[in-house]
Amino acid sequence: MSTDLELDSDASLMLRVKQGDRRAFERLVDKYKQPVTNLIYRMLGDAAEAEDLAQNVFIQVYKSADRYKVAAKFTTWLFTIARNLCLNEIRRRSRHPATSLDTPHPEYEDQPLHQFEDAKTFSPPDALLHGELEQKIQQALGELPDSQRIALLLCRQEELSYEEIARVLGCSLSATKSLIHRGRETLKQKLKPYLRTGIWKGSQK
Amino acid sequence: MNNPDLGRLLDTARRRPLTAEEETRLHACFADDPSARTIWEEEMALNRLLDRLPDAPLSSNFTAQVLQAVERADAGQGTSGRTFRWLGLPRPVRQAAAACALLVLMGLAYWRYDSVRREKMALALAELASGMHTPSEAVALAPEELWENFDAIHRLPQTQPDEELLAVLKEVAMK
Repeated sequence: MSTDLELDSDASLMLRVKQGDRRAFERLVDKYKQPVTNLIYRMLGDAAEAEDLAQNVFIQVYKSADRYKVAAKFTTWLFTIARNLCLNEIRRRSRHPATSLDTPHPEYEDQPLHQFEDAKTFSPPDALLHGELEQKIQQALGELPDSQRIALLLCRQEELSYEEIARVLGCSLSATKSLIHRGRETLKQKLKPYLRTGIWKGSQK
Repeated sequence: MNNPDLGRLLDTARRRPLTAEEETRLHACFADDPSARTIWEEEMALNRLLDRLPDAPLSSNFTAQVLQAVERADAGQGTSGRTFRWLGLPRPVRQAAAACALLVLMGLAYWRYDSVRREKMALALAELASGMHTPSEAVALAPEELWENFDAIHRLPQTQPDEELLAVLKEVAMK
């Protein structure tokens, strides 16, 4: 949970970053790298891309440190940068869609167009345990409209109040609450089979 | 969901565990409206599901990579930018300094353009003067003092000729 002390420490670290203090910047990166990468990963669904983009978020933070005002809470500013880069990436992807790995080969229909070695393969029982449920949750999240998804994910960040989420999204408080509410309602519908138990019951729809 | 307090408590519970006081208010909500418990349980179940999402994988050298990228960006940046930063000048002052520098550069460029233009004009006049070879023509040339002010006279706005003065001069010449 956010405290005044933490808020002060982030702001004072940013003031030091403004003066070119790399050590202060390193501390901020260490503190926020996981929440920022999680947000981007859940927005894009691609771990490698999420890490690259998260690095870009921090580089952007450093480059625009002189625009940071202490009046603004650091996390609001940080997640605004993350949100903007995410949306840019989503727009870029929609302009240049990638070919699916499942696209069939034009000549041999039983083979995929591209074949790559899977560097991180789990054994079958591991794969089952490793997160069918998580996969379903991620899939349900991924099917939400971008605005609802990012609002809902920001809402999971303990550091951000609703007002701050609204500031990150650039919309009103009521619109933000409505986005979160609609997103959660859709998720509840999609994840209904295991809302009570928290266990995925196979092929239920 | 008609109970506004339940709405507020749900908002809070989405982000952090409830305090003892909030728990008491929640139980009061359940007592008032039994359907509130179902809503609450569904919401909490969704929170638990979202909490199950694992953290995104991160390279162990994430921070080091960011710092390297920042170093490269700094190295690519002009030394002037860094000098201003070291001086600790605030952004508006830096912008004003940049605007002043731009104005000075523009002034210098105009000054250079104007001197080149003047040089060209002087050269053209010199060429004109050197083109007159015969002594009789040389005698007919205007005195040097007149050429001294040629540039200034040339720049004067066009005015109507003084007809009376021209007539007088013509008469003098005829005599």
